[in-house]
Amino acid sequence: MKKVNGNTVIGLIFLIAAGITMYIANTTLKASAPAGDPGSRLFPNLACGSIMLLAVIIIIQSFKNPAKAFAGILADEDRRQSCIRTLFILADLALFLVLWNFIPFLAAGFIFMFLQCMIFREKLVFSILYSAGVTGVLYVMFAVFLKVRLNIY
Amino acid sequence: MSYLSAIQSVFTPGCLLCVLLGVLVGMVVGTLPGLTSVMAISLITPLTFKLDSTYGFAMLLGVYNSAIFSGGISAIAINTPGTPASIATTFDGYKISRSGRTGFALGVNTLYSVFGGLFSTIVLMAACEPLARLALNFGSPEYFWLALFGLCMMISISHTSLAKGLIVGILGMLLSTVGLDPLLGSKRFIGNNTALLDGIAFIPVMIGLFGVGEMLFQIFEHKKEDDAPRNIADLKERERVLPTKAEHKRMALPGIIGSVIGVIVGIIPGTGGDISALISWDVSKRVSRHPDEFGDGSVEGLAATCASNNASIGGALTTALALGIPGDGNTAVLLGALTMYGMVTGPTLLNNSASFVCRLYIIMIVANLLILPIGLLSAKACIKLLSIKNQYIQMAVLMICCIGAYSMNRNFMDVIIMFTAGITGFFFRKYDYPLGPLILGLLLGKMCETNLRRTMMLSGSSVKMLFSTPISILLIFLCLFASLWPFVSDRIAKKKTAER
Amino acid sequence: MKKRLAKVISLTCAASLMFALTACSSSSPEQPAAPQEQETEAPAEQGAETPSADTSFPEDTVNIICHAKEGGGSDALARQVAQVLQDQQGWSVTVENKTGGSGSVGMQFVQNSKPDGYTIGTAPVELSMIEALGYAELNPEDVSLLGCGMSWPAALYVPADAPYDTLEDFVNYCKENPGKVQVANSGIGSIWHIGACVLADKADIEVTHVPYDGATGAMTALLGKEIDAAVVGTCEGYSYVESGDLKCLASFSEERSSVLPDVPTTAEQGYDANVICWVGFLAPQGVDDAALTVLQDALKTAFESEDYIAFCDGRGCDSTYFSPEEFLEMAAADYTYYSQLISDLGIVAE
Repeated sequence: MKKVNGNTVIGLIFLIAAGITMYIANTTLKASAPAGDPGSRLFPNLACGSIMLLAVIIIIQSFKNPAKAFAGILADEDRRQSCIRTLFILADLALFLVLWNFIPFLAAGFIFMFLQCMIFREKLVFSILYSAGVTGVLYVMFAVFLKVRLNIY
Repeated sequence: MSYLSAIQSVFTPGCLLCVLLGVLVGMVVGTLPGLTSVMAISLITPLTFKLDSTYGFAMLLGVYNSAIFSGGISAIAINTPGTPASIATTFDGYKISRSGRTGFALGVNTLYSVFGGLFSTIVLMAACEPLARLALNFGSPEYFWLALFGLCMMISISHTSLAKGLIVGILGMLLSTVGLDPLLGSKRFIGNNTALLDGIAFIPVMIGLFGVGEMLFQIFEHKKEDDAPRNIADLKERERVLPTKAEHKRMALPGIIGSVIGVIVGIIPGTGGDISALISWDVSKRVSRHPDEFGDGSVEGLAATCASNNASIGGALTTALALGIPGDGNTAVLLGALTMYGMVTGPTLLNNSASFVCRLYIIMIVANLLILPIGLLSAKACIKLLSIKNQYIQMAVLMICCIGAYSMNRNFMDVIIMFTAGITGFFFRKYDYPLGPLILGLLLGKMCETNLRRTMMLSGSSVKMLFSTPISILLIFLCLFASLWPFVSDRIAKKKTAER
Repeated sequence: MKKRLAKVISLTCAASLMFALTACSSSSPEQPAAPQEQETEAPAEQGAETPSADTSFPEDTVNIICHAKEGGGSDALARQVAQVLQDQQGWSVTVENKTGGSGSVGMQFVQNSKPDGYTIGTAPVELSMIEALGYAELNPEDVSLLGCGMSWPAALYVPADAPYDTLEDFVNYCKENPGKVQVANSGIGSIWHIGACVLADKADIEVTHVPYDGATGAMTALLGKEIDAAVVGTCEGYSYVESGDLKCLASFSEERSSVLPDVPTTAEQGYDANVICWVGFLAPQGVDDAALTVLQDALKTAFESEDYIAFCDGRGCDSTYFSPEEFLEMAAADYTYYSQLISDLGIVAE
């Protein structure tokens, strides 16, 4: 596991994704227009082809100079902490996007900001004030001043 | 003579107040990501109908100029372009800002935006009609070559690895094919999803890649020592807003290049500040003595992009006023407003409403001059605002990005696109994949495809038409030069070092 | 508690914004002040006339969903109507743009929104086309139409130095050179594309249809002589006829267009090709009758106001009012005709 190179993985993802897209393009899109001009399929196909070619080059390059190992990021304590923190923030962001669809924006936004503050280990009182402040200011700016309705539910 | 009376009617307290109000509104909207200048102008337009036409237009032009300028503020401060026109500003502006010189970057943004705006106004005043007529020579083949020229920039923008830059760029082009086929009307890659019929929206991708991606990356790369207070010698540099004479000397040429390209690209209908700023950045890099600084906090790159997006305003107004052709959403709303004031837009406008057009020129100049002090003052305020702990900024920016992506069209699909783009942006950032090419591909991919295929359609499936006009030939040479020069210059540089 | 606070904050902000705007409009000198006073007098009378005695609709903000993006004619229309409604009825009206899929995104949003009358939307001619084009399952029968007050016919434009002066010349030229003549339109499946197809169908000619990026793109290409002719709306090209850059061979309507009074209609020249682009308003089905009546009457008053008519004249459009019933009739007729045409011509997306 330690030897898997990040660039190799990304290269493989590119290769597979482009392959699938190419398959979809070839099965669903027309090859040519009624008058015989190139049809909808030409460009996606060209793009997928070049992506696959470049992905192979990137994979070969990644074998030549294995720079960053995938597991290496968890080596020291500091890195591990920030990695976990990023994951938490992402989860919080996803939670916010879900909540936004069910409860008013002000509440969802406040929860999102408050959880972020918690993830960053801020003090409780400060967290509440800061979350309410940012959410409120943005709400006034967008919803009141610019008349964008922010409630989805 | 007519200019004199125009100046008289513009320099009244009421009119100046309208410009000022417009500038302030434009600044708020321009700075917020997701809210574009088009939205700001169309929000204001019905309100201006209650005013006299000069007053109304003063307000609208104030909004237009200042929204394009202030898109750069958020690009510099939080790496999230406020409007698409300031994508290129993130390349260098944010790097300068991260090195602690936020005020300076914002100062440059203000100065060179105003420079670009004034430059383009002068061009507009001098040669509105003939330039607009020239723009009509731009047909489908020329658009194709122009798009290709822009795409060639992928090579110079990917400074870490050519393969990585190209793969990301082509991914952008592939994404631009999602949605309805522009020439046949068939659906591509979307199934029966109505929300994606018009393709992947550009602004959410931009916000996600640059804003969310960068913030996640910063949170990920966070180190304890980043929080330590900076020393006092640094502080003075942090407070500085105005560039020194030496810096001005370096930025003069890129500023002029940016302005000229901005005007030219602005005049061509359908292309605007976003494309012009990217091209200017690229051209400035090529003529610069320090090309390796570009993308890493170069003042020259910053000046070129800032000047260029504002210079495109004058260019866009050229075709809009002289021919009644709106090159983008902004000018479309402005032309709509003109008809509401009882003017007939189109080729007759310049003659029939000559005195109004004169006033409009003066308003452009006034609006730009007003941006200068307001921009510099706001730069000072911005330094204070950004001096809080990094994590507070990161938290707020994530929130702003979400709202921005949503408020553009009130479509939740856009937020999902932004979220996906954010995660992608994070990984690309982590593994040194440049983001510029992806944006470039997404921006120009469709233009490239549509115009190539339309040319084939027009010429009955032959490619001869692509090489038939002088403008095409010129653009082909530019493309060749743009794609080959990086390799040639590398060679030359290597030879030079070898000789030493 | 928090919600209440937010409401207070938002109210104060709204109030201060209103104040700022009124202050700004009143700070401007003599000219604008006078018409404003007239306006404020007018709505008082009209307000008394509207049969809103038995219903309290609307108590809240009415939201207009515009199907087109900022900058287009439909967006300007929505904003103009919102402004007139605010001035005349004293309602609070906002405009929101939900764009995509030739208007299907916006219209579907309205169709699926709560039928309380507070969400209405613009209804462009595409309402009669998107089902046949395969963009969305939506036709004029699926929504309740509120009335229409803006329409303009298609017109055939050619460069001023083109070798044909009448539609008949053009048709004959096309017959001599089948498939050679290239006609620009404002995009695949757009109303002007249909317009060009209708002409080709009725005149029995064979032309190449080239889609451009909106009417602007088509006009630019025609001015640059990349293309032989273009079919776009009357209001999108009449200024080039005035300036002598282009000539217009026919307007696709029964009566001559007000902006191009010298141009004969297709009917006058012997072709039964009427293609008219309209933009009206729609609401979701199931709005209760009282609210629906209030909305319909308010829109009727708005469409007949001086401000609105001036707006349409400025843009070169026809401001004839279509009542909800007339509007439905027109939309349904277009729906039948265009659906047939689109499947016959094979412009169906897969």
